[in-house]
Amino acid sequence: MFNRESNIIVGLEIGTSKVCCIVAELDDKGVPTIIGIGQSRSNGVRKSEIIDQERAIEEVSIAINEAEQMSDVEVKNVYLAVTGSHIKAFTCNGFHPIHAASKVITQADVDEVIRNAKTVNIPPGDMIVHSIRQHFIVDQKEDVINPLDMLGTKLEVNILIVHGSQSRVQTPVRLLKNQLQIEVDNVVFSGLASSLALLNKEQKEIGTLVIDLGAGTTDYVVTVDGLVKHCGVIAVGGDHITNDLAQGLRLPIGQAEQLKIKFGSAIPPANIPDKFVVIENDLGLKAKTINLEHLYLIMALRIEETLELIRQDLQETGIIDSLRGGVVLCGGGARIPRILELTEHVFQLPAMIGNPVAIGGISSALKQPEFVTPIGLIKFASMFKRKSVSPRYSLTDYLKNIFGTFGK
Amino acid sequence: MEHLENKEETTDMSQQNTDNKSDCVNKHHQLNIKVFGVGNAGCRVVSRIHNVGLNNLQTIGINTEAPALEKCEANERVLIGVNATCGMGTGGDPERGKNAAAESAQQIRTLCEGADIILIVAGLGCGTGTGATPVIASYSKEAGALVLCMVTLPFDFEGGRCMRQAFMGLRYLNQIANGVICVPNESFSKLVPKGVTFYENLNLINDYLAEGICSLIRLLTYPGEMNTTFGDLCSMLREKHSRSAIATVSAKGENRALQICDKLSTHPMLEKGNNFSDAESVLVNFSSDGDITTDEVRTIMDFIKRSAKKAFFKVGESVNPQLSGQLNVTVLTAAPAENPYNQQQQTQSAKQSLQEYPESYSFQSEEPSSKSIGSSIPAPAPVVSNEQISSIYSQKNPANIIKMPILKQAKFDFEVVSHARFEKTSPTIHKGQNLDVPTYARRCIKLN
Repeated sequence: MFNRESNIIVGLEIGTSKVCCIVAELDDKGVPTIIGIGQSRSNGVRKSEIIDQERAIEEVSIAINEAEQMSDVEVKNVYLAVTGSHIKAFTCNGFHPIHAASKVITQADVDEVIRNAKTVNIPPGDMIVHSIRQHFIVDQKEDVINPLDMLGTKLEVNILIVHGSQSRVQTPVRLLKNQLQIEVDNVVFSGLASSLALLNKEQKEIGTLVIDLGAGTTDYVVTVDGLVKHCGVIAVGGDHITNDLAQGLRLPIGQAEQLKIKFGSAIPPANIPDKFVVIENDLGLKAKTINLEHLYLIMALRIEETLELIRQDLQETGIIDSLRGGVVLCGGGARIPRILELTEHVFQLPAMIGNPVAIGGISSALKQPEFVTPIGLIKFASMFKRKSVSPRYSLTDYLKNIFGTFGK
Repeated sequence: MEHLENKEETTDMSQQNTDNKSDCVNKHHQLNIKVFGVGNAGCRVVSRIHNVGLNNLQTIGINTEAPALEKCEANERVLIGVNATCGMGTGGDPERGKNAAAESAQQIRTLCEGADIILIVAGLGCGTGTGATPVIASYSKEAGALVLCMVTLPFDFEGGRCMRQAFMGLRYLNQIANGVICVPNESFSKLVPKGVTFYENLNLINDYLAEGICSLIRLLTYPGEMNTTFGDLCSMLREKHSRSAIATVSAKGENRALQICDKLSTHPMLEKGNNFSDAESVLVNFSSDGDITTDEVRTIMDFIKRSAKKAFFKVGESVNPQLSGQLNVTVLTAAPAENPYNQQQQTQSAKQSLQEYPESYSFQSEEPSSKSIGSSIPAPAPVVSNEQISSIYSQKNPANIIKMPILKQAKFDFEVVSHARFEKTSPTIHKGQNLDVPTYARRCIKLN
């Protein structure tokens, strides 16, 4: 049914700590199987945005080469994860009166209301990354999943618009095209990709918050009733914890990072057996003695603040009350010991560390919180491809299927 | 202290000088120096200087408190203001200290006779030190001597009134004396290790002041090719003092210059070398037995100049044969002090000239109305007739206009926060907060 070329989908994430490229192959039914993975340490990226183009390109090509060798395909098109402080989301409303005498809602009406909803006023210089349809409203009757053939005089729909700065979204796209001759098929908000990879159907229904604790940014996505209701980015991540430690304990960044991995904890331990730790320099000589209490304090303050900022945002939008499925964590930050305790304390909800679900060919090596976003890209791409090749589906169905499937 | 042993160090020189007393060139070498210790603190310091036993030095203790004066060891002891205070002290009132000194004017003038240089040591803040010192300084000047004062400012915990009085006293002193070295007591807090008793702390301050004066006297009395003269001292101290520090370090051996640099950089009185960066003028005096090399001078001066970039320098050199291979370096720095009472006083101090002293100045003029502050019951409103009100309002005399103190922006020492890791990115501003700054820093949580 597909030739090999069109069967291949590639997800690329240019993250702050690592560049990760996953190659997957779709089988006849459109189910993806991962056949290659490549990654490299990232140095040209801060807060999930490229600051050093030369280094970033070098690191991307290393990751892509590795994935190409492993999967034995040439990477030409990728799905690119984007995030950063510029990514924002808001919900807008579309309205369409039904003029037909019969008052039967037709496909044309549905298309029209979605088009109306999408004519939104986003800040100049911004572009829409995703527009995610929410449920329809027919004559004040809310939560209508499919209004086709229903009777009504007024059709409304809400759309969640995820938008970001055009120049900042386009920077990696342009770099990939100009320097590596790689086309970007689609840009995907990485928080969305993560939630796509992590949540099962039930979690999507009952309302779940996904927090991707990355190195550069913390992305969060709320899924309720099978739909993405809210998402956001806080440009604070693991890098900030390291930087805080480096400043607070007066250490080089590298040593602060090592300390964070070795001793880090989201909640300071009640009693610290050995309070002072001696840092050795390159020669193995005693360079500095640090107080672990300070390390725990600095870390705990930063992590708690980040989670608290998310909680405040959800509180303001009022969506926090519909979260019954709890909080699912992913990203490198999910590895911090006792982060679940802290998350439960902040949100007063059960918390768990997410596992990527329902993708074939994932070795145990990939079942790690760091790989959730690229796996989510594969999932997004497989859904996109599966639907887009079929001529039956219109734009409405495309939207419905991309984000509706993810709900149903 | 090493100079305790040097009791007889100047014998040879003075002998030589007495032989040629008629020679008018040598007469300048035979300086007649007197040290006055005023008040309790001054008397204690003078006792110590007296015990060091420098030659050609006359020590005089002056106090209003008879019991304290009895303990003072000095060549002469003078109880002033017998009528004004009955020998019971001033009770912390500078006005009474001033009156006491004025009452005993004749005695003080007699003491000042024949002196070339008069050094006055006092602790500012309380009655005698603050009130009597400017009077004594003015009498000294009238007697034809050059006057250098070495005073301390009170501890912070002694309260605002004490500090205000001290600054007023300092201001008057600045106008009378040729030079004032002012050392805040608080600056010793770094010198004193934790757990040291208060008594020991005070002793340490006295020792330090005594050592400072002794080193100054040596600096003035020893001959050298590049002599430090009293004029040098005064020129660097005039009109900019309030926060001075004096330190003497010594070293022996091959690397003595480097050792001295090291000692200066860790000297607690120089705030581990930080003092240099604030200093407006720095006096450096090298004293050796004559074997100091140019390289050594250059090494030490390079070090000091690196730290004190904007300072005015005065370098002196003196020869002391007793030192035998040892190199002593005395550093005196003077930095402009942040005087909280300076602004409002500037206009007044301009009016007052030296001739008006000592009778014209008053410590009461700027005293806060302590009665109203002290009592918790507010005083009843004064009964004022309408005519009086109109006459009060119509007065255009600037003296009646209440001068608001010009508030000075306080200086805070902020911890330098570097954004090196995120410097190429746009700052993460969330509700007015820069999230790139560590949370603990934004919430002002102190890590010690």
